[in-house]
Amino acid sequence: MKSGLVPAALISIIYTLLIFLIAWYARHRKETGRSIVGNPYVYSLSIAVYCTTWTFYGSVGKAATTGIDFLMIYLGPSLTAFSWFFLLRRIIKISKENNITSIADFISLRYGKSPWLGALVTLIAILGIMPYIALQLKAVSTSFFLISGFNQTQSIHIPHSDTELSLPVGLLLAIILSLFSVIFGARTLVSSERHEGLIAAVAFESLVKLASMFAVGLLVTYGLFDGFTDIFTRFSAQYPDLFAQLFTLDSAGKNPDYIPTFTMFFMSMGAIMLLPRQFHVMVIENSDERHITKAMWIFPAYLFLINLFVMPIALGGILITGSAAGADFFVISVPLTTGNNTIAMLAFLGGLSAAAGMVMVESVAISTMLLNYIFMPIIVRLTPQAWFPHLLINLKRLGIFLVIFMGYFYYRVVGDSFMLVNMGMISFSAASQFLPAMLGGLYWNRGNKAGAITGILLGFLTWFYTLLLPSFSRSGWIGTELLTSGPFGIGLLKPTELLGMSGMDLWSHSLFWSMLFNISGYIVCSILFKQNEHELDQIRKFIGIFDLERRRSYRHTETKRLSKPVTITKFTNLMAKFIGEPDAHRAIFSYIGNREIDASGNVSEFELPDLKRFTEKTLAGSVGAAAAGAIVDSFLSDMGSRMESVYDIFSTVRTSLDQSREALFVRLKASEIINRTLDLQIIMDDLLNLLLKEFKLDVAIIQLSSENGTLTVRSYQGSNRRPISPKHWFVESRPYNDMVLLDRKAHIINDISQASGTVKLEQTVAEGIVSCAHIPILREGEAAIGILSVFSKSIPGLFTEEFIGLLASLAGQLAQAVTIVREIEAKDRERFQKDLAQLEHARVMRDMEIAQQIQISLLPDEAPELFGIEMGGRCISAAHVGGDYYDFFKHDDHSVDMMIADVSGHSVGAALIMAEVRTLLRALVNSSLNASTILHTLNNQLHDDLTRAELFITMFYAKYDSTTGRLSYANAGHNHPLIRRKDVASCMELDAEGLIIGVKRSVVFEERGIELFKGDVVLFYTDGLNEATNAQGEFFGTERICDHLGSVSHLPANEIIASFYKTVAEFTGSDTFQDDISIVVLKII
Amino acid sequence: MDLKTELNGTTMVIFIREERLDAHNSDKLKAEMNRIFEQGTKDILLDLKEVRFIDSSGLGVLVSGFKNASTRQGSLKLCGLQAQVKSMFELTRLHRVFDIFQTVDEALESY
Amino acid sequence: MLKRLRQKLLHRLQLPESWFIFFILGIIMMNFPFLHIFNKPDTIFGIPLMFLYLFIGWPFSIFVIYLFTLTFDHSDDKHQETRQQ
Repeated sequence: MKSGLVPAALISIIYTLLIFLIAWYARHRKETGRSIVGNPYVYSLSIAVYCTTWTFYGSVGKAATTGIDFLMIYLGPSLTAFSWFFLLRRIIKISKENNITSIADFISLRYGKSPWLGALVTLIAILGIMPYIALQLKAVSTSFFLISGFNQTQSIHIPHSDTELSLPVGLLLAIILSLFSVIFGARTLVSSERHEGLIAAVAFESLVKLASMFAVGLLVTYGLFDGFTDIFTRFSAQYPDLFAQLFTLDSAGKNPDYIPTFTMFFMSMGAIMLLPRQFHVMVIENSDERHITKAMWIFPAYLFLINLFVMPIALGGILITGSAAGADFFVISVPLTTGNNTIAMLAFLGGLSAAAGMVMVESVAISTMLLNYIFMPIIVRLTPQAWFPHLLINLKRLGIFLVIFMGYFYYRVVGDSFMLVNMGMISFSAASQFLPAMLGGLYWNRGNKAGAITGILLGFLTWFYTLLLPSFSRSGWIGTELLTSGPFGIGLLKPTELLGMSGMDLWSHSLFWSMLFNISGYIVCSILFKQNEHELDQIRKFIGIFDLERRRSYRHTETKRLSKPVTITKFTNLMAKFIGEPDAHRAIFSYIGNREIDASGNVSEFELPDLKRFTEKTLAGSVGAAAAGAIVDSFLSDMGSRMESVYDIFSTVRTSLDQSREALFVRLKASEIINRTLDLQIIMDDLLNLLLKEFKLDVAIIQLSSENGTLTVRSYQGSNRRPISPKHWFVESRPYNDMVLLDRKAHIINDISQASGTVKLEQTVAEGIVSCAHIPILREGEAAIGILSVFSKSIPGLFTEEFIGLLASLAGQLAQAVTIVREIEAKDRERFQKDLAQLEHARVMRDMEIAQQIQISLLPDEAPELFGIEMGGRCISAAHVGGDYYDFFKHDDHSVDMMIADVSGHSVGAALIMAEVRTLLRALVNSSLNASTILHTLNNQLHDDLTRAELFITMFYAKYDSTTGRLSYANAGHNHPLIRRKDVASCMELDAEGLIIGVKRSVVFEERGIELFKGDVVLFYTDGLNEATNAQGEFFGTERICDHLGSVSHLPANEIIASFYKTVAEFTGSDTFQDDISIVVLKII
Repeated sequence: MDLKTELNGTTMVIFIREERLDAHNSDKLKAEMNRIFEQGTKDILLDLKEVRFIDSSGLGVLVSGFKNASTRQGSLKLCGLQAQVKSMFELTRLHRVFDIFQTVDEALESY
Repeated sequence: MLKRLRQKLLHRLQLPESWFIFFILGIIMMNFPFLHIFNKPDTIFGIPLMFLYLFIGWPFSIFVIYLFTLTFDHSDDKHQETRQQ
């Protein structure tokens, strides 16, 4: 025993405890809801589990022997990071959606949940990875002995059995790692869950790896030598040939161990995604898709940093030790040789970390695969028992031990050989076999199960034959005859020169043939064979994963139904049998969430297939997709239920909007029917016949509610029709109709024999109806105006969510049509009333015309002529007829009466009053009554008539005697006539007391008089003149009248009148007046 | 025609919310007044505060309303006459016929 | 100015085509015959040519990936904005 053993062991134990502590702390934080693992940096570091001891020790060894080409193993993954945002994100999304637990699960699920495929992938993983685990154990135990001071620097060699017995480092390590993996990797059965403790440990180990590699690198480069340049210069001086060899890539293939760059590059690119542990940390343990973007550059940067000092360490090691023989452990031996024990210890911990991380993750990943695809297929055949959850979790734990100890025994048995040293590459090569099925599964629609199995199997066999067998042979376990002369002496079948392909190195040769067989097998079988329905389901999930998300807003089309409804409780019990009661309940609560549950605690019929899938998915998170599918299917068949395709009224050809062509056709037809006519009866009949014809329905009925809310059958189509009477079978559906009106939702009975007993449907059943649906006829957000009922006599389960959606949309269109027709009817009624009103209006208009005619006929044709005066009078009627009236009465050659009046109102009545006034006046004027008496008399005579007619009259009456030049007058509320005197700039108004005629009896009118002189112009007018309004709303007004009168007073009377009309027309801006305008002019000459 | 009626005690106050009371709209006022009289209300107060112009048709309606009220031993009173409207009343001497007040309150006090 | 240039560059990198071109470029540069250019035992300032090539090319490629990830963050923001609308 060397003295180094105790500190080495002590530090190892402390370090192991530290890892435990970190893992435990991370898990504790996770449980208290403050995860330290859920960030992109930890995620990136956990991906660095890629760097195993094969990197940590092996890179230096490889750099020292074959040169710089080792970098290809890191450049490949670094470059692959480019694709992560597209490829890895897609894989993660799919995995999260489907509770995927491992790469075997992923591939199996994609190809129709094939258990065979999963088992095959598991087998390859175990075969390919087990030796790799062995390699880790070996490296750690070797390094342990190195650090403990055993003289192992000259060769890689397993210690003798006696020392091994005294301290079985490998065994201890295997036990510790197994325990750790079980505690932090298999605490619960749910494998799709994240293992925060495990990941925290792995991330920490990645940090230690990097730190220790850096420490050694810095020591060698800057402590023992004087920087990069110094090492390179000294090395090239001392070993010029080796220098040239190490820093060039051996394209000619002189070195038998040399692997061409492309082969390494390609295999490492595949390995970074496809190795079970890589898949596990990158996909299963991913907590947030957004972490990918950071990991995309952090992980390559990590690879870059950890490899930065590999070349200097290798060259420095050769310079110091004098040969490349112990290059695999230069990382430890160089510090040791130069007396830097602390650094050496750090390096040992780095190596330990590298090994531990890899073994832990790999064992968890593979044990999951083992459980899901090797153990489960057997367990599924057994009847579920209460202790199943315990069995499963313990099987998984057992799996971890199994995997690690298989690695350990492999290491013990195989020992030091070619095999072990190159196991990394062999593993990579095995993992590459998953590549075609994986990529094809993600992007190629046609890729199918047959293709995947064939491809992977062929690839695996080729790999076994061309790579593993020769490796065995080189390790000396089987004879070399196979290699040199081929099986049975057939040269063409030589494993290293298949079909005579010679001159290629072992790796490239194997990769070429295995990939060729793999890819062609995959493609050919995928094209030859058809995909079954399970696979088609998955393809949509895998390839359309992002479309799925984009289309989430669209309605998911359910094409399945459960032939017999299964309750939520039954599904929960099933889950509990495998994952335990608490987890099962938790899962089902999360499912129910905000879904609608009916009174009996069940989801709607349409949701059942979804619930079944959820159950499958939940189980898949623990037992893998294939087993979950098998469990649920056998459970359903025990229940006497099964998933059956719904009667597909729509073909499988779907347009971009996720609507079948048939649905679109029916919609189109329906809108055609609805738009063709406004006759509701024809619309409803045609619509029902369309439904009957297109959907194999047997009876269809439309009921519309009338204004008082009662439903009446408006259209009834289908077979075996009888008049609707209280005895008709349809009446039995009344309760459903009431419900539809109440909750405005469709009510469906998909299988009348399974319908609840609360509503009696005996007659309906007797009629042969097997399924029916009642759909409200309503416009979005409005009350139902009717019900569309459809019945099928042949197909139970006809009414899928999609079909009901279509029917509802047709009912919506119908509702629109009904509403429109009803609106049109209402409008028609309104129009009729309007027509009536117009007729009335026309009658009134005609009335007006008569009034106008009367009015015009009553006015004097022209003014009488008298010596010394000139008179004129005119009335222009407006469209709106008024009751203007003026007249002249000539008594003799020197006296004349003139009057102007306005009967209020515009009607025949007013015109008649005018006529009456005229008649009465004519009786009065010939007497010698003065003006006021005439008005007084008129008022008395007209009062009753005016009161009856609800009219009144304003009137100005004047008498002129040319001999005296006196104008005597009286006024009954009429506009004051104006007098314009020669050389006077203003007008005089003529006014006299007097109320308008027709308001009161016996009114006293004042008699007034004024002497007129030569040149005086007297203007009588009606209110139409001063009340004429212009566009601004101003009145023409007396001021304007007076001004204008002044400017035209020199003109003859008739021209004065004409100029007034012209001026008013200009003022109002219109040729027609709002009211009649009458003007009478008296001019003294 | 924009009218607002408000019963104040036994008096119905009609607020005429129009700038013009003329041939176009006076019929509506007439109908409204007739309706009020039919319902048994005898006293009507017309608020012409907003009326800027009244023509002979408008006056006709007021006169017939006045007569109607008189035959029912009721009254038709006016208030809030603007200058132009007032001059129209003065011209026709109807201001001697109607009781005319400055404001509604003033008019209501007179009952 | 610099900011706009950066924006423009990031915008270009957002295209899937750019991603593909860089990926293929990376594969080409890491393989023969391209590697032949540096496959010589010469040194520059005492550092072997191949070592220099790989250890300068590699961080450069990581930097390019880093630039890509910047654009993803950007586009993510944009998506969120539009979603909020």
